[in-house]
Amino acid sequence: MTKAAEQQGSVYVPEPATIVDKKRMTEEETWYDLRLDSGEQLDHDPGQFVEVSVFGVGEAPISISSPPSKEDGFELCIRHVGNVTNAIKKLGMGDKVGIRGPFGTGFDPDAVVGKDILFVAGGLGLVPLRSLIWTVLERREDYERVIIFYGTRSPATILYEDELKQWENDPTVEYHGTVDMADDTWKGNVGVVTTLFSRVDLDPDNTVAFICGPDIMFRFVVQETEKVGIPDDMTFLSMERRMKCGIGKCGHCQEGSVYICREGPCFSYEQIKAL
Amino acid sequence: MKSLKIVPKDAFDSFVRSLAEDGEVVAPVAREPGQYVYDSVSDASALEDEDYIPTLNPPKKYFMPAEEVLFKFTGKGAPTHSGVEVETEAQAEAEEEIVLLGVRPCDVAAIRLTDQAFEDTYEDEHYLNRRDAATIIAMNCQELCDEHAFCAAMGSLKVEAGYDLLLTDLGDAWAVAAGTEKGEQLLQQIPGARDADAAAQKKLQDLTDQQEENFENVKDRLDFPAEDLPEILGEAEDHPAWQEFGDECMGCGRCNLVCPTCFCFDVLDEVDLGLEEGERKRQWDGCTLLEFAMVAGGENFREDRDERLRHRFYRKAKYLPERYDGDMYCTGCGRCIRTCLVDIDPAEVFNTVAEKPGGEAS
Ligand SMILES: Cc1cc2nc3c(=O)[nH]c(=O)nc-3n(C[C@H](O)[C@H](O)[C@H](O)COP(=O)(O)OP(=O)(O)OC[C@H]3O[C@@H](n4cnc5c(N)ncnc54)[C@H](O)[C@@H]3O)c2cc1C
Ligand code: SF4
Ligand code: SF4
Ligand code: FES
Repeated sequence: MTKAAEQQGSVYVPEPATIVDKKRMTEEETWYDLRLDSGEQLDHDPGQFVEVSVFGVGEAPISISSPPSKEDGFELCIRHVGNVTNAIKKLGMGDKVGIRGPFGTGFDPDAVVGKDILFVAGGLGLVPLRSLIWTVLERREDYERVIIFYGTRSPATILYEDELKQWENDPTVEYHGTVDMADDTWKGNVGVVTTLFSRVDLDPDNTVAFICGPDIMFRFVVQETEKVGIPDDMTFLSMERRMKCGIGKCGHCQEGSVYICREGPCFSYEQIKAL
Repeated sequence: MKSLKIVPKDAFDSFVRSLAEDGEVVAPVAREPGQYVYDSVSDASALEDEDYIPTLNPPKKYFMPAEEVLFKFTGKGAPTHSGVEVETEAQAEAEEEIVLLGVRPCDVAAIRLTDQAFEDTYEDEHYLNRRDAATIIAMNCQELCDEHAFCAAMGSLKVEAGYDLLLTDLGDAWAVAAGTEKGEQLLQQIPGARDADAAAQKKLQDLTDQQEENFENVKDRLDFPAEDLPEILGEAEDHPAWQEFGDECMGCGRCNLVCPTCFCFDVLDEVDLGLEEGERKRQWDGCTLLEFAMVAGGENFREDRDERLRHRFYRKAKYLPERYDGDMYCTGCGRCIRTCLVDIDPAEVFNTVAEKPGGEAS
C-alpha cells in the first residue's frame, strides 16, 4: 500500500485518484490513465491488481496494465460487464475513482533472467501480461527469446493494437496473433490461441511461459506447454476469482488453502495443481 | 507468571456490579428456556446458570456486527457521474469499552481464531479496535452443555489464550486467572481477591482433572484426532457422502450466520436519495449461499450445494488450519447443528468422509 493509504487507517478506505486520460479500445473495453491524488506511485509488481471504487456503486479488482517503470500514474484496461465496470464507463477525464492496492502477488521478472520468455494472452488476459511484457522489453538484454502469442475472439476485440504493431515490427520479439473468427479485413491467423504453438520451435529446457486469459483457455494452453515439455514450475498463470476485500479477509476468493487475492492472482502451474 | 487469585462469590458480584455501573457488561442470559443471548447485565448472576448452552449468536457480533459502515463519502452530484468530489472518512475510531462476562471456552477459542484472521498482514481496524475495547472474562465449563457440542474433540475446551480473565467455579468462590496484561490490572482491582493457597490450588487441580474426565467421551465424537482432519479431507474430496449431505442441505446459510468462526463478508455501497452522501458497508456473508463464488459473467465456481457445503467444511478443517498453523476453525460449539433444519452435524460429516465409501475406515 502507498503511504497515504497507510495513514488513512482503515485498509478498506480507498485513495482518491483522477482519470487523466481514457481511450475506447473496443466495443467493450476502455483504457484509462490514472494518477493518485496523493502524487505517490503505486509501486507495483507486474501482475498485481488494484481495487477500483466508484463511490455509491462498489469496487472491482482490476489488473494494473502499465509496467512499474511508468513514471507518473498507472494504466488500467476495463471491460464493462456489470455494476462497477459500467459505472466507470460513465466517468470522464478529471473524474475520480477510489483505489486500494496494489494487492496480490505478481510475476517476478528477476527470477527468469536468461530464459526464453513465452507470453500467451487470451482476450482480456493481455491486460495483466502487458505490464510484464513491457518490463521484459525494457531490459531486453536480460532475456533470450521473447515470444508473444495473443488470441482474441475477433479482429474487433483486439486490445492495444498500436503496441501489437510495435511488437510485430520489433526484430527482437516474435509476435504471433490470431483470432477465433476472422472478418473481411483480417489477413492474419485464424484459430484459437493454442494453434500458434505449431508456428514456433520452443526449447523446453530454457522456456518459461506466462499465461493469462479465461479459465477455459488455461486448460488448453497448459496442455500445449506440457506437450512442449515446459516444466510446471516454469509455467505461470494469473487466476480470476470473485473478490471483495482484496486482502485475505472476506473469504470470497478462497481456493484450497490460499486466497487468490493474497497468494495470487499469479501462480506457477505447479502451485495451481496443488490447490 | 500469570496471576491466579481466589475471589469469594459475593465479592466478585460486587465487582461486576461496579463494572456495570461504569460501562457496558454483557453476559449470556436465557431469553426463554434453552435460548441464550448475550445481553446487558448488572451483576454476576448469569454465571450461576446451570442450564447454559451456547448463545444463539456467538459474541462475534461485538467485534464484527452483522452490518457495519466501513466509511462514508460525500459527493457533489451523483457519485457515478462527472464532477464528483469524494471525501472519505474512516469509521474505525476507538469504540466504546465493553466487558463480555461468562464467555465459555469454545467461544474464547473462536475469538482467538477470528483475532488471528483479522490481524493477518493487513490489520482490520474495524474489528481490532472493537476487540481492543473489549474485556473478555471467560468461564470454564465443568460439564458438557448439551448433546450437540463437541468442543473437547476439537481441542477448544482447554482455554489457553484469548481471554483477559478466566473464571473457574470453586463453589463459594471463583478462581480467577489473568491471561493478559489488561487482565492482570483488572485482577488487582478486585476487592477481596486473595492469593491462591495450597488448598485452593489443589481444588483447582481436582476440578481440572474432573473436567478432563467429564469430557472424555466428548472426544469420541470424532473417530480420530482433530489434527488429522486436513489430511483426511485432502483424501476425501470425491467422497460420495458430499453429494448426500449436499442433497440434504437447503443452502440457507444459517450455519454460517451462527458460527463463531465464520467471518466472511460482503461489501456494498449505499447512497441517499439525493446521491450526495453514501456509505460503504460490510455484511456477514455465507459460503453456503449461491451467490458467494459467482464471478462476472455469471460463472460460479461452486454452483452446487454439495460443493458449497464441502467448501464450508474444508475451510474450517483444512484450508484455514493450513493457513494458520494447524488451528481448527471449528470449535465444536454445536451452534450450526442446533440451528440446521436438516441436522447436519460437522462431527458426523467428518467421521463419514473419513471412512472409505462402503464402510470400512480408511
Ligand atoms: C485479479 C483480478 C484481475 C482482474 N483484472 C481485470 C482487468 O484488468 N480488466 C477487467 O476488465 N476486468 C478485470 N477483472 C474482472 C473484474 O474484476 C470483474 O469484471 C468485475 O469485478 C466486475 O464487477 P462489476 O461490478 O462490474 O460486475 P457485477 O455487477 O458484479 O456483475 C458482473 C457480471 O456478473 C453477473 N452477475 C453478478 N451478480 C450476479 C448474480 N447474483 N446472479 C447472476 N449474475 C450475476 C452480472 O449479470 C454481470 O454480467 C479482474 C478480476 C480479478 C479477480
Ligand atoms: S461447547 Fe463445550 S466449551 Fe462450549 S459451552 Fe458447551 S461445554 Fe462449554
Ligand atoms: S462449524 Fe458449527 S460447531 Fe463448528 S464452530 Fe461453527 S457453529 Fe460451532
Ligand atoms: S478477496 Fe477477500 S479474501 Fe480474497
